[in-house]
Amino acid sequence: MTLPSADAGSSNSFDARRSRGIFRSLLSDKSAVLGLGLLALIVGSAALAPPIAPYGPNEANPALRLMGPGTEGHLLGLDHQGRDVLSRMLYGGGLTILTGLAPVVVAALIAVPLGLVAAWVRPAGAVILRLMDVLFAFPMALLAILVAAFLGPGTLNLLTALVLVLLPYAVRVVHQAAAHEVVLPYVEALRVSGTPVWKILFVEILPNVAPPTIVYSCTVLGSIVITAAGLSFLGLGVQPPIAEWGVMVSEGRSVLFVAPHVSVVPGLGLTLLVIACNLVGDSVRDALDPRTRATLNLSDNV
Amino acid sequence: MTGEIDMIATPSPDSLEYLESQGLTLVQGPVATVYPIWLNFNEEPLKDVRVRRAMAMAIDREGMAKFLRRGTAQPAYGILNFGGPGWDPDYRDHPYDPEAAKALLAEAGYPDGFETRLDWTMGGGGDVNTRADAEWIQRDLARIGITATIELFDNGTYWDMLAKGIRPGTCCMQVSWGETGFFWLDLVVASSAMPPSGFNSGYYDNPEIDALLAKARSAPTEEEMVSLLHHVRDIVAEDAAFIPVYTPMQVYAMRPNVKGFVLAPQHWADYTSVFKE
Amino acid sequence: MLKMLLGRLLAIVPVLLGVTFVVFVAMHLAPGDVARTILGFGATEERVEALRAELGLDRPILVQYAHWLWNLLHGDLGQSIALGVPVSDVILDKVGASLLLMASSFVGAAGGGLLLAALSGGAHRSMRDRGITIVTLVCASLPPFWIGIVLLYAFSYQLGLFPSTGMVSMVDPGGWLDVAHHLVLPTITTALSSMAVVARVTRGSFIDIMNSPYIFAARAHGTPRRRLVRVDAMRNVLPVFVTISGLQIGYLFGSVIFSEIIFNWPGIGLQLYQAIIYRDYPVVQGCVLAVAIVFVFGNLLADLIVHALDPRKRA
Repeated sequence: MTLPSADAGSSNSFDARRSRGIFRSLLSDKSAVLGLGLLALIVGSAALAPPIAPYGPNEANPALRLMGPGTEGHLLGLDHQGRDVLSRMLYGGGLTILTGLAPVVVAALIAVPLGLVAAWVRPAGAVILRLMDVLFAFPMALLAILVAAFLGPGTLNLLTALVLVLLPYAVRVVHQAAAHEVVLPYVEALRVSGTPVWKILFVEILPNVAPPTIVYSCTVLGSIVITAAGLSFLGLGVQPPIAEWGVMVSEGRSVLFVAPHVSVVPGLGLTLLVIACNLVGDSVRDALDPRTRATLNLSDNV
Repeated sequence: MTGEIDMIATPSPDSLEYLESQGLTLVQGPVATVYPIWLNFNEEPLKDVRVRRAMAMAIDREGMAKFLRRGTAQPAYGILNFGGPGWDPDYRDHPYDPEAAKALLAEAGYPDGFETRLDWTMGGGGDVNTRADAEWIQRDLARIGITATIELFDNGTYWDMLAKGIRPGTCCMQVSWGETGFFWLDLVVASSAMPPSGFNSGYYDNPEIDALLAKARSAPTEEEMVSLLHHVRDIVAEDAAFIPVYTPMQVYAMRPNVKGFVLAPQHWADYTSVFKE
Repeated sequence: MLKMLLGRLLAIVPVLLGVTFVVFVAMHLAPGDVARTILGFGATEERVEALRAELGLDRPILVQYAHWLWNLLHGDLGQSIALGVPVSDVILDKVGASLLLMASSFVGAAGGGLLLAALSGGAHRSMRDRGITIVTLVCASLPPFWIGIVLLYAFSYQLGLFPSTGMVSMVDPGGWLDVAHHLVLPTITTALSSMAVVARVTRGSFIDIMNSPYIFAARAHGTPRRRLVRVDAMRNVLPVFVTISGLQIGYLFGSVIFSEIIFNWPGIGLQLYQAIIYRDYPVVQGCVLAVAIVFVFGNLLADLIVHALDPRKRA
């Protein structure tokens, strides 16, 4: 699993004006273009699954079970139930992306108000941060397994588990950025002029807190895609017969001897998806925050 | 394969060709057993016999035996198992017909099917590939509109659950059963065997069956016994109380240096006569 | 140093309390009756009732937790549902195998990462550098459960170079060499993505340092480039390298679960997986707790090493 550097951009105060040029700078970055292209290809083919997939995701031709790639009419072969692997890849792409993306987005949305409040109301902030600290004591995948195991299998429970696991990291990112802002003179000026607190937080400070939150979300996306698929691989997430790449890798394990393509193909798709996410994530981080490099600080990260 | 294995009991059917290519010999033969699906009579839709029949007609038993088990199983029809008294190779109950099944389901008031759950064992002992079985059945049921989720349990828990009666929300459970006698029917289909006193775990209640089984036990001739058992079989089929799926073959793959292996006639293998040269 | 060590050890106490609390509370995430969930659908009503009383489910949650913690401190993690033995026995049985795999993976990830970083960062913008950058990008993106399967198929099933399952040969257990032979594929599976991350971050630091005035000065004095990379730059990337390696411990703990499952490595990860499948919740709790505790101490160790190596922090 890749590094979700929780400190990405944390030590910087972001200049909102700079973010306007981001899209242009992303497009001038070769690896960003490659990542975005790959991502567009995967998302596009997943979105177009119904018209372009040759078969339904659960349509089976048992007589051709386990036939390899290149079988007539089945470009990527068939699985242990005789289902077309290509069709399942296309149909499964959407859910694979969703189970990675949705927790990141939801966690960020919850983290923003929590982090802002934590930075504004010091005592409440201390409590929130202490609570989150406890969760850092777990390896991320392990905590997700614990929560998902007790919630029970299912896509919704998988998403819940991942949001819970991500939340502490996201809150810390928002809090660090917001804590930087609240002490700046412009905030003091707003406060003195009697601007309502909610307005200061969500209208004035938020735009400056958004960039590090976005950077963090982008850099963590790849590893959450892997964690989500990993939980489904363990049987804790998406349930068969629903097509999802982690489930598909796991299903192929029992026939690896005789039909390696059943596991290898979906895993390859997953790897490409994660590469795309990491390319985009790295580029977004470099574009928004060129100063974040190898200067990691342990106390910030564990 | 690094030559570490001398004998594999019940290898996965998909691995047979590979094992043969590695120089292992396959020994196989049918066992006196059957995999019936228990249907839960306490579930609202399944109280209607048409729904149960539709389910029986939805499941492609031939396909399962031929493709999923790769011929290491024979499709099973009727509650009387292969190797037991009264088994008739030519008997057929509900033939595979998804279209007719869908129509029957609509007639019973479920044109869009219903939602339910399959509780399944992940196998143990002689059961292999049980998850793939469950997925196959799930797909067959989906074809007539019945949406079923699958929950898998380890064998110990699974038998405890069966002994307690199928839990609410679950339509089907399945284990292998069958003996060279017919007394197991007293434990499975008789109404006296409802949980917690037996394994009539789907609460099938037909006093006629109880009477027929009692008569069969004290039948003066084997012919009479068989005729009574056929009667039991026909009633169970008509009620569609159980869906027999297939009779598995016992398969062993062994290195040529293992000699003296005899396939057991009943459910358990006898390893005492096996020796390695 | 001693004072700092004591401070860190004291700071760990609330963290451990928190960890145990999270593991305890997770039990209450289960839908429906907790005692029923733990014992499974097959259990009798009497047993469920007995466990309900034992856990004190009608009492406030903090009282339940105190009771649970008290038992935990006495080594009582409850009884495995599937195995019928105390959870602590199950875990103690497996912890050694996991630690071995973790240790070899950590050494592999850190060592391999440093080597790759030196090879590429020492020759910035060369073909070698570009090649290694691409390889590390791909490796950092590999799902461990998938690369394990690929390695298993290629090196075990097809080439027959490494055993596919377990920690020792069943037929002919051959001591440490045998274990080492079994260790190779699970170690690569666990370490690969972490190695790539270590390599990427350390390379960045290498490049910064190779471009620093101090290295320019050394080069001007005629120090050979090789020596610059191996000795001078290496010394200066050490803090970053140790830090990023320490950070990988958490990811290794995630990956190790998957490689244990794929290669049937008889450790905590495999046990955890089986417990999940068997709905053996006390064992799930125990395994997570064991890993989390090892993780906390692993981090402490990494922290101490960073502290010892970093001249700025020492001052």
